[in-house]
This record gives sequence, structure tokens and C-alpha cells, in this order.
Amino acid sequence: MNNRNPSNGKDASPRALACIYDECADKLYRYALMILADASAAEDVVHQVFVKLLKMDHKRENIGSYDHYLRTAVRNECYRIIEKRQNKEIELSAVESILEFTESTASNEEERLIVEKAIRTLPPDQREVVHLKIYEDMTFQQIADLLGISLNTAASRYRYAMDKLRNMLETLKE
Amino acid sequence: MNNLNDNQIEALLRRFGPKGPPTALRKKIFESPKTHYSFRSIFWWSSIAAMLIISLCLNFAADGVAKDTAKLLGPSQTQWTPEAEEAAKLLDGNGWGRRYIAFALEMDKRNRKNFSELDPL
Repeated sequence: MNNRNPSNGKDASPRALACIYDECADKLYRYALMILADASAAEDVVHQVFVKLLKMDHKRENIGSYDHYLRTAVRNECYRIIEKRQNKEIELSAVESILEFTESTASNEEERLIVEKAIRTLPPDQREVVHLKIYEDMTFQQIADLLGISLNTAASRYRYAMDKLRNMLETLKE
Repeated sequence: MNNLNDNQIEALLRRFGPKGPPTALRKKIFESPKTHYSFRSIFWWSSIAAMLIISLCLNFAADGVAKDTAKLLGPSQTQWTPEAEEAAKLLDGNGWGRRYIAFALEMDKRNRKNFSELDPL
């Protein structure tokens, strides 16, 4: 294995971290955005995680896998923010949209808004599982391993999310 | 969208995806990492600075009061009675206890003097 490969954690120079950022930031930001459903909070989370990593200096050499480390750090930071704002509802009109078109087929803006609104109604843990399953193509076993939950819990979170999305999409479309 | 099944919902979700990070974020992280102070650290450092300024101001004010009091009272000519000595000893024997008793005796002397000036009897 190449020791200079930034994502294996051996090369800890700021330049290597910039490479890691280029490699992982997109995925991490989208992940944070789906958990938080708030673009500026997701930006803060990714910013904070990378700044902390930059400040770690020589301790960075102890990180085994940046991919796993960063994902866990982002996840922890997201749930810390959620816990902090527990009783503060975000006003939908006040936040930036979180979804973008991935294909130019028959999708329209109205449909995007409906899907976004439906996704926002899900609790963060269900949004997280939906994200990992749909947008990162993970299996329930991989999701369970990543989140430290049982396979059944991962599958049932997805099931609840699908039911809720179905209801919301039908209600919003009417 | 009536009676959507899971596959249809998944297909619908796949038409969209969470947005990517803003391009400015990379710049923000890597251009000046040393200047990124968290709000929490700014809050603590400014609190400490404010406390230092307040304590310095109070120290100067206390010095001023001490000087004014010394001017007002003039040189101490306290008459140390055995009772006063005993009271000073009870407080702390020396230092502040003794000074406090001296101040109390001086004020008592002045009050008595003022009172006798006012009293026609």
C-alpha cells in the first residue's frame, strides 16, 4: 500500500489534508446536509471537522483511516448540533434548499420542492439511513456497521422513512 | 402520486440528491487555518480581558479612596486604650485589625467632637 496516499492516514501534511478534502469533502458535506437538513449548519460541521484536523498536527499520524475518522467526526458533530437545537424548529422559508437535480429527465422544480419538504419531515436518524441507502448505495449491513446499530434497526429505520415519505408525498401532491 | 411503492419512492428520490459543498468552503478551511478562532474561545478571552480591565479600574479606584480617606483623617493620633488593644488583638492582632480599630477610634473621636459642637448643652 502506498504510504503517501492521503486517505490511509500516513501522510499528515496540510497539503495531504487538502487532497483528503478534495477526495472526501463532497461526500461528507452531502452526508451532513442530509442529517441536518440545513446547508449552513452542514458547512459549519465540515469546516469545523477539517480545522480540528489541521490543528491536530503530529497526532494526525495516529489516524488509521481518514475516511472512517472523518465520517464519524462529521456524524458526531451533526448530532451534537441537533441535540443543541432540540427545541428550535428551523423555519423552512429561512433555509437554503438541500436538494439538487441529478438528472434532467421529467423532474421539475415543483416536484423537487415536494420531495425536499417530505425529506425534511423525517427525523435525522431516518434521513441518515435514507441517504446512505439511496445516495451512497450502501447495504443495510454496511449501514448497520457504520452507525453501530443492528441490521434490523437499520432496516426498520429505512422502512419507517419510506412509509413516512409515502404519506408525505401523497399528501403534498394532493 | 397515489399508492407509491418503495421502488417508485426510491426512483423519485434518485432524481434529486443533496447539494454539494460551496466552493468557498475549501478556501475558508485551508487559506488561513491559524486565524480561525472559534466563537467559544473568543468569548472566553474577551471575558478574561474584561475582568482584568475591571479589576485594574477597581484597584485604581480603591487607591484613590484610600488616599482621600488619609487626607480626610490626617495623621493618626489614635489613643490606644487597653480595650482598643484587646479589640485589635481579637480581630487579628496586627495589620488590618489594628488599622480598623484605629479608624473606628478616629471616627468616634470626630463624631464626639462634631456632636459636642452642635449640642448647645
